Amino acid sequence: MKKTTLILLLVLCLSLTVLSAAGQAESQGTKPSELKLLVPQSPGVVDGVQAVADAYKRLHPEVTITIRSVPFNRYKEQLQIMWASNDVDDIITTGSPDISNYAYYGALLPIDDLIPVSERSQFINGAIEAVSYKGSIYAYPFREAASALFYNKTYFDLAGIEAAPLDKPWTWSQWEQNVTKVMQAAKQKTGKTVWGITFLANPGRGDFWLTPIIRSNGEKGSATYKAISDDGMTLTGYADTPQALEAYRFYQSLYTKKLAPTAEVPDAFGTGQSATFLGFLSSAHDLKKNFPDLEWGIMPLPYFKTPLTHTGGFTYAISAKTKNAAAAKDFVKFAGSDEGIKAYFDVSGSDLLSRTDFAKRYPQYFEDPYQKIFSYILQTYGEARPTTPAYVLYNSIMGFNLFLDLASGSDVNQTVQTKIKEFETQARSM
Amino acid sequence: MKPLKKTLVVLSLALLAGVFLLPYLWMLGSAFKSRSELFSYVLPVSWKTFIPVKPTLDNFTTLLFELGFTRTILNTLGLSAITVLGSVLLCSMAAFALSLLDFPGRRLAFFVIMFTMMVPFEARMLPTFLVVQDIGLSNTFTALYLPWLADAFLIFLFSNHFAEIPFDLYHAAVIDGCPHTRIYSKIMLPNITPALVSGALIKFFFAWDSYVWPLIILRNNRFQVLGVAIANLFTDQSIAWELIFSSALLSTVPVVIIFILLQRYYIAGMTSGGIKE
Amino acid sequence: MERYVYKRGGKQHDLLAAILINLLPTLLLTLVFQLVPILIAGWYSFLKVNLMAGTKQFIGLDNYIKAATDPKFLQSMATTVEYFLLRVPLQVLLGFLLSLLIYQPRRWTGVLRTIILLPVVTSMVVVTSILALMMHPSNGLINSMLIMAGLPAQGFLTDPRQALFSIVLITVWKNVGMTMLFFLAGLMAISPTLYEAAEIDGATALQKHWHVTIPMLKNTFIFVLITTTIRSFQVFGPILMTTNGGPLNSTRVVVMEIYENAFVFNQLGYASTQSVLLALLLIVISLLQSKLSGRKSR
Repeated sequence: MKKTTLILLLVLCLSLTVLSAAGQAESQGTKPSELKLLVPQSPGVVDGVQAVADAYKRLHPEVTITIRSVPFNRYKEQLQIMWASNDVDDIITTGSPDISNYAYYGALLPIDDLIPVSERSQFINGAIEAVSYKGSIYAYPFREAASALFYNKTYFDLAGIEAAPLDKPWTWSQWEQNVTKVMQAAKQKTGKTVWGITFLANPGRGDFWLTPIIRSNGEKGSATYKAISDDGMTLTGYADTPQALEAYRFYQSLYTKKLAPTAEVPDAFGTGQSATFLGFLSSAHDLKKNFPDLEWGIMPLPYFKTPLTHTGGFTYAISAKTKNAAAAKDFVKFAGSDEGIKAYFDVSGSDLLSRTDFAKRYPQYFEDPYQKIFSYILQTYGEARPTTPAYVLYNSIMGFNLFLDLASGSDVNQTVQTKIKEFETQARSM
Repeated sequence: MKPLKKTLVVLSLALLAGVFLLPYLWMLGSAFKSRSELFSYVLPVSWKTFIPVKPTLDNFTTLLFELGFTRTILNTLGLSAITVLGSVLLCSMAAFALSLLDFPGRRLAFFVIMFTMMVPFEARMLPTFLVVQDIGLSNTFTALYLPWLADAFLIFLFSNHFAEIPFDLYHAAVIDGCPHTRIYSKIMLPNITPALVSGALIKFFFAWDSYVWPLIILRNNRFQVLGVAIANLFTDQSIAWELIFSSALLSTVPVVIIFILLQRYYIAGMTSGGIKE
Repeated sequence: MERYVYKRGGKQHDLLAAILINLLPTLLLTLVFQLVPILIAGWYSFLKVNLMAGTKQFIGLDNYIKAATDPKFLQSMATTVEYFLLRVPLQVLLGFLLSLLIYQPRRWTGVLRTIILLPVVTSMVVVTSILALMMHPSNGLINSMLIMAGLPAQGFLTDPRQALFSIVLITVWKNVGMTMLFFLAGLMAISPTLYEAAEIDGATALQKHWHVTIPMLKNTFIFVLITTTIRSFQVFGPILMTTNGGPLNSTRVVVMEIYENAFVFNQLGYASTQSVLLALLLIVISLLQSKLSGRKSR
């Protein structure tokens, strides 16, 4: 009895193998008009891109489009593995600062012909430069982002503090003074101990969120403001200026003064555990959906000498090893056109765009009050992230590890120097 | 004296159980909480930490109907079943040959197999992917479980247990006329049931929880595994904690059920220890 | 220990068939899916590999020299060894004691066994993130309870001195059930006649354990020791999910170094070198553990 069972099981396994192999073999036949997309799991992206694909298929029924999505924090690794194979995904979506990095490695196809020179001024300042490398364009800028400070209106009112208006952001010292008062008032009047500031992930991390704090301590055009050399390979003299170090020290003081938490506090702002919160447009929508009873507002990011916020969102790019370059280019052109944008917005909701002219033609997509606020912030304070062909390295070392170490209390000067050296060594051997 | 000892025993057992159960109690209550309530009652600890004030099934409906978790769970069950059956069978057969037979090259074969345990998966996932690609199995279900069938840990485990079987048993069977090719199923298998069950459990959970390899191999989203589906809940902009707690529940319950069904193997093993003739 | 020996050129066709049928499929699969990739990785360790550009350049022993003098790599090795020294004794001892407890057929055994095995069957991603939340320095459930009991709150994963041990707690909590099962399987293979003989000789419970249980479990113990050691040296997932190598690099283990070099710094060649060195270290340690425990050689 036992033996027959074993044999049956083995036969079952083998037949399943054969069946699945056969099933796959059929769909693996190379069709000239088949496009494969790779997107990260980011709210709205998968559905939005699917909507764009559906709209495209209606115009081009002979094209089959498959979309593959992977967990966000594994996306970069998956991109590398995918590009190492001989069967690449034709189109990928990735943040604009990463583009020059991937272009440097030759992983992307130049798409200058998709954006004629006459159209380039239609994009927000710096968007085209961010996706260019050595004079060629390697991605179609799509979404933009901007950061701002959310504040808890109830607590602010308790302390009698009025938030900064959109056109006059606070300085960081003003912020610290005011928020300390807010925290005291909250403690006295509600008994709650609240944080001064929380981030999307605590402790704070990411070049997008935190480097503006450092850059703002420089005058526009200064080394501190630029944060990196023009060729994007040197940080000495840019990230270690006295102003930059001063700003890093301020950032560390947020944690030593217990203004910011050193460990994750999910939904800190939504559950009324923090006075201010560094977020972006989708944070506004999340708050409205998940915490409808919370009273909050938005004010621009505080600064030291020059106010700024980082920009750049996801873009469409084409793999250099694609076997369907013409079809891929056609799709990307569609995705970036009015029809593509509409398809995306209809499903995922409107967002900030790199293309500024779309808003003029379709104002109905820009009625959301929060979107208007962030649009203003984007236009007034928006600054592209440090452009470097080693952006993945830069973000990992200077955007993540550096700030995380500072939050844990390491010596500021030493840590900054170590990280700069690490970046420059790795960048040189790229 | 007796009642005191009994109370101490009960207390320490309760503490032990508590250490293992505490996260699950929190998870259980949280799975039924809406997002707004989820982290509102953690500090200070009260009954509200563990029991939802406004219980909701929304998390589960989102997972099962909007995010396709039903299909995912079934897929992963299928994958785990095939992995377990295939690897337990193949590895125990190999362990038998390596432990109770001798032939030229045996030591080398054993060493090679043990050696493969020493290299971490992260280091060889890319080369394995390239090999799979070169064979032409990229993006197939087969490529998913085939590399998992030959498992050095399992072979090591089974070898250990085969070593405990007295050789006389084997010898007697051969003298009785049993051919060597039938020895495995007739004599060996019944005697290492506890090890088989342990091995099956390891392999099952490994396949059940896997997500890095399926992520690399499966190039379309039609066949989704549980590990990837849960990992997808951690995005750049938000972590869907309410869904994570409920997905934890969903992913643990089927396994616990299977486990409870397997209990009888343990009871049988415990009451009749020793060698089976 | 005796075996049936197949001599080359012999006429033991039956035996040969048994060997081939039982061993060949697994051996083949091991060769193709485990050995070949490892050899490829070994080959990469002598190259400078650029995954995205698709270039490979032979650089001889440069990677190895770099690894031997790389403070980051050496520090990660030290951290991993520290992790191993914390985790293995804890998990093995605890697993053993739990197996003794569960081996008694009482009414509550089944329930307790299931409870201890719950962490094993739950997704690693979920378990680690939930436990990390529970360990929050100010808002966490564990600290809430400590405070209620009058004890000071701990930093756990945010304190550079406690982070590694907190990871040990998480991984032991998750895996001890499996260790318990291994010991259980070993206990079940012990013939009750041995215990009866000991009892006839007048042995107490403790003496029974010392003279029967522990010696008979030797092979199981070695198995558990070696496999837990290998797993400890290869730990990565929980650290990636929680501390990401921090705080202040206190949880930066070797596999984290390897992963970062391969997929962030795009230095797959160097990462492969580090993997080779790790594998060599593990082989040495496993052999030592095997010899020192006096494994019955077959």
